[in-house]
Amino acid sequence: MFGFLLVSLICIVALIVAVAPHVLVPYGPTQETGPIYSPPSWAHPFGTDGLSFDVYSNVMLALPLDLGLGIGIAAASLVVGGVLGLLAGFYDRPGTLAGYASVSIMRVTDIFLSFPSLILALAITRVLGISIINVAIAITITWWPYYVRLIRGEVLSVKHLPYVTAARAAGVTENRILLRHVLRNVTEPLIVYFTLDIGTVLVTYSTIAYIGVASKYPGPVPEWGSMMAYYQSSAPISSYPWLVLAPGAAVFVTVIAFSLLGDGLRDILDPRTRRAFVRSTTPEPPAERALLPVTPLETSAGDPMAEGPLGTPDPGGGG
Amino acid sequence: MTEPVLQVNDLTVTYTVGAGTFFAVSDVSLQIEPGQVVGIVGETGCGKSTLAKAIPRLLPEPPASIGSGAIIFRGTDLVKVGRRQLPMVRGTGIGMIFQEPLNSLNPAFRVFDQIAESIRIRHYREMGWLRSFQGGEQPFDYSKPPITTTAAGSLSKAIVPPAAEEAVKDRLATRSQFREEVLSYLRLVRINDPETILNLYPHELSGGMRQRIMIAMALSEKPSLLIADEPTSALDVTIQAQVLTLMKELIDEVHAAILFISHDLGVIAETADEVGVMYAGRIVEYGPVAEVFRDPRHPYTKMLLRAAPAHYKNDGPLSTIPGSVPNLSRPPPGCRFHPRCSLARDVCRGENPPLAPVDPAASAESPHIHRSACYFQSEVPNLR
Amino acid sequence: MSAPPPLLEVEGLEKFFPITRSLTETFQRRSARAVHAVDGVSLSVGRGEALGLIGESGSGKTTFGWVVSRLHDPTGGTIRFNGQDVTKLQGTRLRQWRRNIQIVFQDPVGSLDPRLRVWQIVGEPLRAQNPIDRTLAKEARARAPAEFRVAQEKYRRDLAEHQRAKSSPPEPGRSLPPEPQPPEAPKLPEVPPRITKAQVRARVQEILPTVGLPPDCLDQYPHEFSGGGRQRISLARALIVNPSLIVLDEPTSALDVAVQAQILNRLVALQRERGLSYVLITHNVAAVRFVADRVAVMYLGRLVEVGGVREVLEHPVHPYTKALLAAVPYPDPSRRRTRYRIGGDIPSLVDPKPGCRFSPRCPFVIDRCRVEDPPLRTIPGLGERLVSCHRAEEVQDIAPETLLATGPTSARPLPT
Repeated sequence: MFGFLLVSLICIVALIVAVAPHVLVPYGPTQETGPIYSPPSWAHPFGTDGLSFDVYSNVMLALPLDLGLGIGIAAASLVVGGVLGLLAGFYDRPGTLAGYASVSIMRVTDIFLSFPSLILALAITRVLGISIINVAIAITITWWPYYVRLIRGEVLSVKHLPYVTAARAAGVTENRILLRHVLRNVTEPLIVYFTLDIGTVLVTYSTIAYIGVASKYPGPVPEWGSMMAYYQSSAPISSYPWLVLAPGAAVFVTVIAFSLLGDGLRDILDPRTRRAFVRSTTPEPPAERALLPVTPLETSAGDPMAEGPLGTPDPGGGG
Repeated sequence: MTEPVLQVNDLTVTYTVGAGTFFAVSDVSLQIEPGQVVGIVGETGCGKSTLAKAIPRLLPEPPASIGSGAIIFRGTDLVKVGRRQLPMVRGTGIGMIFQEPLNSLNPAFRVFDQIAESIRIRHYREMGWLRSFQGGEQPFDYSKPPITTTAAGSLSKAIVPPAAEEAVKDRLATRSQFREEVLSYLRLVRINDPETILNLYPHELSGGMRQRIMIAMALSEKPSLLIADEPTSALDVTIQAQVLTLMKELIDEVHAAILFISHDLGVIAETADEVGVMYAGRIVEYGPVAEVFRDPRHPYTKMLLRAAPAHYKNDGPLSTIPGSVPNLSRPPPGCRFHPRCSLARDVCRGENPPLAPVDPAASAESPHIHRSACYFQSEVPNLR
Repeated sequence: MSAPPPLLEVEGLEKFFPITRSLTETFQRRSARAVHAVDGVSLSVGRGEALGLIGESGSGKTTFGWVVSRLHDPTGGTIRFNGQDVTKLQGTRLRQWRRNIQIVFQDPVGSLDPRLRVWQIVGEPLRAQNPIDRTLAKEARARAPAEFRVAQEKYRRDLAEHQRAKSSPPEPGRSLPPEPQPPEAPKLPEVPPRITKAQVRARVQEILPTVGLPPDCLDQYPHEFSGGGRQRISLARALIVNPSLIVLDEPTSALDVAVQAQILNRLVALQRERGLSYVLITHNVAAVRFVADRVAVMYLGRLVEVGGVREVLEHPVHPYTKALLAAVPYPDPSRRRTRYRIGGDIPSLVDPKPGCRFSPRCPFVIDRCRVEDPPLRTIPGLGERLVSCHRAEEVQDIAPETLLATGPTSARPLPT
């Protein structure tokens, strides 16, 4: 699984850079190395810029921050949006207090979703003041409604399944149904979406930084978006393409890695593909217990067309 | 003697999933004459639906693949048709009716557009605008004039009566001109108020009505073979009875051969002329429906007929079939029913029994006589 | 009060689902419409009795099962279980009551949580009921000292009164009140111990063979079972709390004939072994014939006919029952070439008009049927049978086969 390997690699590198930068990063963020605008070479893999700073070092030093921001913002949105979405989706009986709360959550969510999130984040940053943390907060504020919407939809589809009703008929309390049956069955799409979302958050953050509302570059804490913005304005891109390409490529690789991981997770977690690994029992048991052994062929509506290429085909009849 | 509409010879269909291969249909042979209704009955997973979709090459390939055999539809072997020519095969004389009419109708189109679409396609075909698959690789080009009839043996020649081209062109001119034809098909399927129904969307119709629309669509292509895959299984009992009545009446009116797939023995008994009983991918018994139901000669058929609940609990338990349907990725050797069969002996475990005529005096040539794939078929009447 | 009340007694049960008004309707002040899923159904189920509830889609039979199991709140009517009115039960009491009545669903895939193992699924009712027992016992224990104190207070007052009465000179015509007894120390109910995983597994292992599952499949997942196996798991989950009534909602509709026969045999055996009552909800006449003792036929939210299984299936009185029985295809080719003559679709349940619900499709309809609701009534000479048809006496001897026309292409469906 390529995406998984790539993401692991990126995370390990980020960890090393954060803990012991000198292992992978030869120069400090604002350390002058001598030559200016030197093209990529063994000494300077991504060349140097007009102040003779090593671009490779800056790109690497930005990795923990950018990765952390991507994961952190997505995770914060996941927690906030996830909890609200679960509650809004599960306790939505009209006429009750919880029902009104559910409606309110959804209205607030709709209001947030009706703004372009980038513009909203910029506006919030303006209000809070320019700093990396404030940008992160601003993005989180615009981000959680997407999770509310996603989780609520999943919860609505799961909560009407017969096994939820069966649990209710057994006397299980509502809170326990939510945790035991509903939450467990909505985690899969959630994990996939979260993984894919990390890349999107990263791009959004870089965009805000590129506009110049986040952090200053060059500075003690480099960041890919602001690097691109600085290099694009400080030197002609046609003469020194590596300056812009290096941080750009870093964003690109990171986002692609998480996309691949998300797609891979989707395949692994999808029950339709998982069914292919179904165990089957041999030898055939005697008559009365005979229904047990698995016939992977059994689904209710036998339509291989509907299953798509990922599904286990049902070579059998319908009905 | 007329040419059969469909001849399936030793068809084998497999699914490949991961490392496993499922033998969904194994060595199935069938012959359907014009105007004949052939029923296929079997349990979930016996391969009957796969067979239904394999004939018009509707199975997704991969994961499905046709391992061997021939599907000769009006003289052309559909197995040999290339991938790019497949669209020409579909809708060229094989009509399909599926189980779930709501999924089979496009929710975005009104009833009129659904039926008009299949009529339009039939007109294109009749005009030769849809190239027969022998003729061509070119995509459809509606601006070009009709192409002349293709070489002998091609589908379009076989199916399409020579149409008066001018008349066809006229009918193509505007969609409103399809109206009368669409209405006639709605009347054919006994829809009481066709003018109203015409403008409704599928979700506004009841299940029975949707299935009638599906039948109208299938018929409007003027098929010579209609494949009905569990057409009434999603319907209520009284509605199912209505649709079955309709289908039986249509059998007499439209001279299409029908391949009728169902898990319901009662439905097959009501509709089919001949029946094939499928078990684990094979046809284990075949013959005229009256003979098969009255005097089943395969242990599976016999047990299946007896498992249908027809008495009260005080009359004793229902008879069941011991064991379970085999896993088709590792079908049992020999007769696939032998692990569940009380007649099984060594020969059943080793060799697959051929589909042999029940009456030894009968000509083994005819595909329409009562046959059973059991070495001990003469003992079946005395079973338990 | 000689005879014990029936196990389940339902009277005038109604369940309406309101349809959300669209914006324009709200502005036009049109009153909210409702789907009348169950519209005044009265039924009873005796101990150890299997009641078959037959109906087609939209007949409200599933809704009836859900309301009776208190999975939906009824709009009107009462449900009595063992003589106790359970219509208004709520909260912990409701959850405790649920052990009496369990439900098995149609969908063998959707009714089992794909992420849980067999022992977790089957043991879920145990693990849900145990804390309820504990809570109720704890509440009782918490209440007991206060109640004891109240009783003691009363005893003291009574004793003082008694002594005063004794010491004062006896009045004529007034006997001495009996000496009050000191209250007994309260018997504190045992709080049952928290149920352990091992106990749950042991109980599940015990119950699995009774539904025909091997006891060693505790740790398997539902997707490892075929449809019949999954239905057996559902049945085991229903049985584990020893309910007295099980609502079977189309338990075999998704299964093949051979598997269906196994499950039906098992259901009948369980009913005999454990004295269970069933409400078997299905459209499958054959399943009802085999399992049920009594049959109730529903059409569009109403009962049309109720009676013994043999009587109703062999001598149906209501035209709809006849139509239903005539529609069932028989696996007997000698009965073919028949044309079904009941036309029309099953109409909508939204705000139904008065009159017999079957009148638009009924071949025996008269004007009265279209305006006046036929009550569910006994028919002279038919014993316990209840039929809701104005013309029951006239049509009772018409055989269902009359609704089939034999011969090729003779009949069109009757005009509606």
